[in-house]
Amino acid sequence: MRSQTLAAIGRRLAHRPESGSFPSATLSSVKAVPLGTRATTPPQLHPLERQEVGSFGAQSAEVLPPLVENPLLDFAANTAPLEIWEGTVISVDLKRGFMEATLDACMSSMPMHTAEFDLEWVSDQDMDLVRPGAVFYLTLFKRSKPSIENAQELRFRRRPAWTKGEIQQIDRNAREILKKGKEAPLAKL
Amino acid sequence: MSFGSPPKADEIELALFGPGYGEAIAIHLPGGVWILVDSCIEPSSKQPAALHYLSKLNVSLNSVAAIVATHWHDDHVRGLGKLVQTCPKADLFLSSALNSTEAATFLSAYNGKISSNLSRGAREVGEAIAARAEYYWTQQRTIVLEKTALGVPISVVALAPVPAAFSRCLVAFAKNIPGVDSAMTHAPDLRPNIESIVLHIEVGAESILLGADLEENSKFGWSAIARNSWCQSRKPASAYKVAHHGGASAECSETWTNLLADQPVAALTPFAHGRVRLPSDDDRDRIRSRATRSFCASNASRKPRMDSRIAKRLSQISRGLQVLESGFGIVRLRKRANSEWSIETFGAAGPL
Repeated sequence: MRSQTLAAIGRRLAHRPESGSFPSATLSSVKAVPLGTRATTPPQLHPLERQEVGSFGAQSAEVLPPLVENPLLDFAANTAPLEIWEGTVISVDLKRGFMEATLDACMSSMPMHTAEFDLEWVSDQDMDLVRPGAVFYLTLFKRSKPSIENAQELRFRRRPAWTKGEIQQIDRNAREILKKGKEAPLAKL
Repeated sequence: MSFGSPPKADEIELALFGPGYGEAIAIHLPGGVWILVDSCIEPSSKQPAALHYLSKLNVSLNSVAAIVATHWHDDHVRGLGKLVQTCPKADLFLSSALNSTEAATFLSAYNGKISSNLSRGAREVGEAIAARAEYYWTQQRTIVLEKTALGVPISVVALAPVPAAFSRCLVAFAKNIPGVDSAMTHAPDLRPNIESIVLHIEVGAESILLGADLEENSKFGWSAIARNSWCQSRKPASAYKVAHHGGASAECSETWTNLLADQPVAALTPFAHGRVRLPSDDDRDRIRSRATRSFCASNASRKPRMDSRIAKRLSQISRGLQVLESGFGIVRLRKRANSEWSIETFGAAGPL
């Protein structure tokens, strides 16, 4: 049941028009951090995970830091997610070490919320991604093995770089936008 | 929510919609003409608030003559695409600050056609543009609507953006245009907001000022408008949609002295995004000192709305958890010739 639930969540996130394929890679490859601790130095990337990560496009697995091992099956068998949110950073205060973000629930229909997070909850490998507008996924879950404990995971979405083809398409779309604009009459002075 | 009957044919109406994060306005002019300004979502129907409202009043969407998107920020354009699609006879007006290759490239990069979820605001504006064969650039002195109805002259003109702001906006957009191999990031909100369309509406002897999100700046903001002789020649407005959610960054004493009648009726929508909460207590005091009849479209609490167990867990790793859209409300002003503004509030709206 749990593996079905998590697989369904992964598919749902993957098919959200604004999420792309990152969340399913996240769930399969990131170790949950127990409450009150930070992520430690991760082990080597599993070859299958490297393949999934490669689907990002221009940003290859060689560019990405290695992801922490956490096979999806173990995650599914021993854990129960309470909620997953897609977060968007509103502002970052590096001096005081926190970020503000909106939280959009993925598993339920709860309304959007905002909250403040200490940057200590962001893993070292994700710190370069923390900026206004950046997207992350926050999961709260309960782990049953080896003991029952609450845990959470916060991972940022890493997007590929713009390609030459995409930039050319942007320019073409911009010309189409401008073509439609007309000047309206002005009132006399 | 029941909104009673539609306005009478000779009645002016200003309906300000606010869900706690977001803003939209519906204006009724004599002769049954409607103008819609910006867009936000009505939470129960998930529809653009103005569409929901007009349908409740049994108003035909063919009577919407113009839709004005004052600027492209997310909280002012949610549902704009659908609004434009469902009002077939409405002309679309966009800020002339977007009339540049740089701005168009910026919107094109972030509107979701190539990579999704980089800017909801850019996406909505993109959908609105796609729904029209043409749209109109709007700057100071642009005529949005000019006609006579029921023997009453009507004029809807823009006081902003001022042309002097365009080059500055162009530079700001240009700085955020992506290049090959550059990291794909989300579109920032460009501040201060000097690109907003400010509308002045005259109906016979009455007038309304819609301040959008324009902020103060001596060359491009409220000072520049309030000191402009053409703007000063407009009739002082007796109803005012307060600029930028009542925030101090939009405050300019000359707006009140040069563009507004003494003690106008004032209405605003709140804004809360992280630590930014508008209007502040000082803002409220300042506005009430200028307009004793002041109203806010959403006065509801921002207490979290989620399962208490989840809220408790989330509060263990975060602070300041609050709901984004606190509660939907409408402030509605109606007036006929030679009478005072009548004021009604619906839902979460109430006195400021």
